[in-house]
Amino acid sequence: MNTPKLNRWTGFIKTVSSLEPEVGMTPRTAVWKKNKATLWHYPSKNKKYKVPLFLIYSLINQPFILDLGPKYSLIEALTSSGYEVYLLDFGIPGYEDKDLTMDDYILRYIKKGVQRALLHSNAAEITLVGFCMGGTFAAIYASIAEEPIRNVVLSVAPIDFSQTPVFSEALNMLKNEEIDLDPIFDAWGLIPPSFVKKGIRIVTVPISYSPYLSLLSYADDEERSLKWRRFNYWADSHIPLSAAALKQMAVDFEKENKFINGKLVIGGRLAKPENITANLFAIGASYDRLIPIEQIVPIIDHVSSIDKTFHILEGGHGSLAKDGKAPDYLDAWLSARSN
Amino acid sequence: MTTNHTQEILNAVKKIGQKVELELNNSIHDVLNQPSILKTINNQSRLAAASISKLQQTVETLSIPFNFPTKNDVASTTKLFIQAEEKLDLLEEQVTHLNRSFEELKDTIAKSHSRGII
Repeated sequence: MNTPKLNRWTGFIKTVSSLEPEVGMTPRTAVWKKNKATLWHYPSKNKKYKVPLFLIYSLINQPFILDLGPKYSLIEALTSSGYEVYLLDFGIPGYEDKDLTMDDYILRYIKKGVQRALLHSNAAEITLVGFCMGGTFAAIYASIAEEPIRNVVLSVAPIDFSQTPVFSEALNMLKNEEIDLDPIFDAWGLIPPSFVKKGIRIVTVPISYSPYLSLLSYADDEERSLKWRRFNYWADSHIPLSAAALKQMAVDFEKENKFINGKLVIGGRLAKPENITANLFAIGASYDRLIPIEQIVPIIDHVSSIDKTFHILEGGHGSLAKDGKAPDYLDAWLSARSN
Repeated sequence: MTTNHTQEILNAVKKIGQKVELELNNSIHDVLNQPSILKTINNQSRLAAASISKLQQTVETLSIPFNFPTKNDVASTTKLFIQAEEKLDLLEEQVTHLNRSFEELKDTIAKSHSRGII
């Protein structure tokens, strides 16, 4: 076998069989901790903007996808562009967190985290940047926030659940109460990470081997293989999920679509998109099998924001920074609204 | 030349593989999205839930004579820590706000002094 072929196969075997790669390498300090959650601060060496960014990630995966490694880290790219970045990492829940609801995550963690970030940064306003379900939470929080929210960026965040990509029959049966998964969720208390992973896989790609075919086509390229390893490690790093939050999301989002219909109540307050007046930037990904664009775009028509933009990104659910630069569309939008 | 050829083959395999993967996944979704399958899953989950709950109750009952802590005991204790942490958090916030107010007051007094008001 000649050398390039051999390099490809040895690279492939080395990549798929290697240990956990190093991730989350951007320098950071913890500014607040509560239970398992940590508010991380990523200082900017060349701060250009007054309004800091407050990043919120999903409950089912770990947020290191935002700081995957040098040149492929969105956080690193944003700090290099001159933004002060705060990341709220919810941490890995334990059995004692099985009763945490969406209200808890929004009021006891996100709201408090934003207050702490404002105190720490001495900033007059803040930008919320939410990813996936973290984006849904960011939008809900923005609709009831008393804190000064200047901008809201929602990246692949599902808002309108009237259209689901798959399992339409299952959704109908859930709505008609022919399916009731509450007993099994209550029995588990905390949904184990393996079940979370299987659940997501069933909804998106029950069979998934194409990432390995992609790897094979560039396995002799060390840098691309390392990026693949890091991304694959993230894709496998699901965390447990509180059954109380899952049950609430199933009813409030999937069954009754309360947020977009203006009927969601969080901490006794009506949370509806019409309450949002901050500048809004919603992003959807064209090849996203988990959150289709139809679930994201309706927020544009429902918010009261005067400045609102929807952007379609060419890529999948996890498309973020590359070549050490924040995506141009994001930097252009943020830079015009962060001073 | 050989490298280019290999790359072409791999790209073709990747393309076909992705197409087959998509078709397989769509078929699985179609099969699972049938009322009869969904009802079976629902019934099985109810049975599993009943078994898990019964097992948990048995362990809770056994924990008394055998004197061992259960996961619920550990969770209850941890919740007390979290409550205490939230109270400390609130105190810390109040102290920070008080400190800031105090600094602002000091600044105002210093400015007044320099203007000869006080």
